[in-house]
Amino acid sequence: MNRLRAFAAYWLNSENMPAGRQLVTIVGLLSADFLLRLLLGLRVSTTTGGVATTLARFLAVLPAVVIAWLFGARAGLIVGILSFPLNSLILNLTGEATGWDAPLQTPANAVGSVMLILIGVLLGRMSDLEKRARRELQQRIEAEAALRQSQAQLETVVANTPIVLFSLDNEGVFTLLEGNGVARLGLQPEQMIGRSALAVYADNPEIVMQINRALAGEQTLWMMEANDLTFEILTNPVLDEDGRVSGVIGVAVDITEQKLAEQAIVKARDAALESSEFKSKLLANVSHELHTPLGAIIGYAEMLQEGIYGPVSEEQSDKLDAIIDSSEQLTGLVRELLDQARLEAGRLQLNFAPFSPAEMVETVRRQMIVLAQAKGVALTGEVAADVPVTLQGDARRIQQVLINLVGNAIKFTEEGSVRMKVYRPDMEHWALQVSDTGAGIPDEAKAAIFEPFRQLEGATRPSRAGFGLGLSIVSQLAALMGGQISLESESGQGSVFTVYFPLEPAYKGNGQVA
Amino acid sequence: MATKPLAMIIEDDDSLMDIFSRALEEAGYETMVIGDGREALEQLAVTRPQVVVLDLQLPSVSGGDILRFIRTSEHLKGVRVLLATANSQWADMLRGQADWVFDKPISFRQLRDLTARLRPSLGEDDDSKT
Repeated sequence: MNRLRAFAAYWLNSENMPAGRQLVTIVGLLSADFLLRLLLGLRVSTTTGGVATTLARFLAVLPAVVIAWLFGARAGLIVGILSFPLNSLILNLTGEATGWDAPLQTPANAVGSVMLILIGVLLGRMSDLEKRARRELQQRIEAEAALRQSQAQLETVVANTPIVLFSLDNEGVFTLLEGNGVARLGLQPEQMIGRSALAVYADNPEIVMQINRALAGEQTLWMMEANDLTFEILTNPVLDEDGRVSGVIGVAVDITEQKLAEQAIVKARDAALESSEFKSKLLANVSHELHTPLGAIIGYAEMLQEGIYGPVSEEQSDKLDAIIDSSEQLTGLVRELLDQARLEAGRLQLNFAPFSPAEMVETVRRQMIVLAQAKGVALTGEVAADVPVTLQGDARRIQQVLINLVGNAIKFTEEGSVRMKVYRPDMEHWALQVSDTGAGIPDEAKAAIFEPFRQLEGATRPSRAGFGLGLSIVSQLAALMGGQISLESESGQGSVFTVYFPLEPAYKGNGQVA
Repeated sequence: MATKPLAMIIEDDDSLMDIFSRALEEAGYETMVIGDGREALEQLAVTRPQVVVLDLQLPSVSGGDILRFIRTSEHLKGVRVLLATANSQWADMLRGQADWVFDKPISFRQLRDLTARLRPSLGEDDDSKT
């Protein structure tokens, strides 16, 4: 059934009607025609009337005409061919002629049969052409409507977008000038169209040069300022079939706001840099101004103690010691505060260089041993064998970290020892560890210990070690150098501070790390 | 008797000027005290001290510029420079050029003891030259 339908669909002009219905229509028409002509034919054989014969011949043509017109050339051919056996059958049944070739036995019938096929095919072909013309016309009407609509949309868009759409012919004469930007530029399209852009902008060599480049076939991208507005202009050459430049099509986009925004960003950045520079200078000056009088206090106290200004009693010398101690304590506080301020201002500069960890540990041990001995605490330092002889980093800052940790450890250790250790926890890192046998740090204090201005309970006034900025600075410095600090401690069991540094630091020499 | 080696102290604070010069006198130096950067450059153009104690922050010409002048002048080759600064970051930048960098405040005793240790070798230098 499906194959029959497919056959019908191919052979019949089945565009507007299902193939099956067409087939039924054709067969129905032919059957009706056959029956009518058979009845007329039977009458003809008995009455031999001229009118009936004429009617029968007309009827033989009618279905072919109708079918060919309705269903096209192929259907016309089928009907023409099918008419031959039908005619043969009718002629045999009416007794007009005998044999399968009955329609060919008289010249009139033979001509009629061939004519039938020709009429079917020609008429069908005409019908096909007519339908095709009608279809194409319809398509064209629809396409034109769609085109008009899209053109209208485009025109609306162009008219409302802050752009200028333009085209020039191969001599630079304006052939198109549209878009919302045209009015912004103060241009009148009706005055510009037909005039040469080269003449209009003759007093602007930059524009003339760009137009000439565009006319030479180059794609150009440039900026133009007019009426306090900035336009970015992109042009493309239009080439003819031979590849010659037949004109230029271009678009100018108003980038004024974008440009203003960029300028604002640059201005803001400059202001930020200036403010950062100012902070940096201020810090340097504050540091200088604070340290200078401290230097005078400490210096003169030492000179008095040395007897440079005459003999000093033991009691006076003790008081001078107190002055020196307090001044040095004040110096420590000032340094901590300035370091904290620098860290907060993001102005702490790191100086990347190779250094010897063994030398550093020894320097710190020598520097801090007096403090340790004063409390009767042992201070030891060791560098593991697998640590490279030189490491990369800011030696001064790393030493500051170590001094802070050791100072802190000594402060909270009443007896036993403080140990410094440099080792490699893994292939990518080296670690600085300071462990003590001191009071330890309770769990509840661990989280806060690295925050600024925090000290353990009991250390209520700023001690020699500072405001409690020490560990905060340590952790901030470590972070700045790509390091990480960890703390293991239990109350009464001592503390272990470990700072892990990358073997290959990400920061580089003299670079500011914000 | 060999003449005392000359120490130039370039420092704008009067008290520190006084303390530094006393420390260097105690260490056995003849001292020349200058409180202004421009004046220091003028003096350095005609004088060759053995030791310069140099403050980094000075009026008119900075200590850093004076240090560069010393290090690029042929007649000042070998002059020992002790840089005094309250700004550790600037000090780090100039560390390679100075013989010694002090964080301010500088201890009188520290300065005296250090310059005293430097002196004998300088004295020999002078002897060999004269």
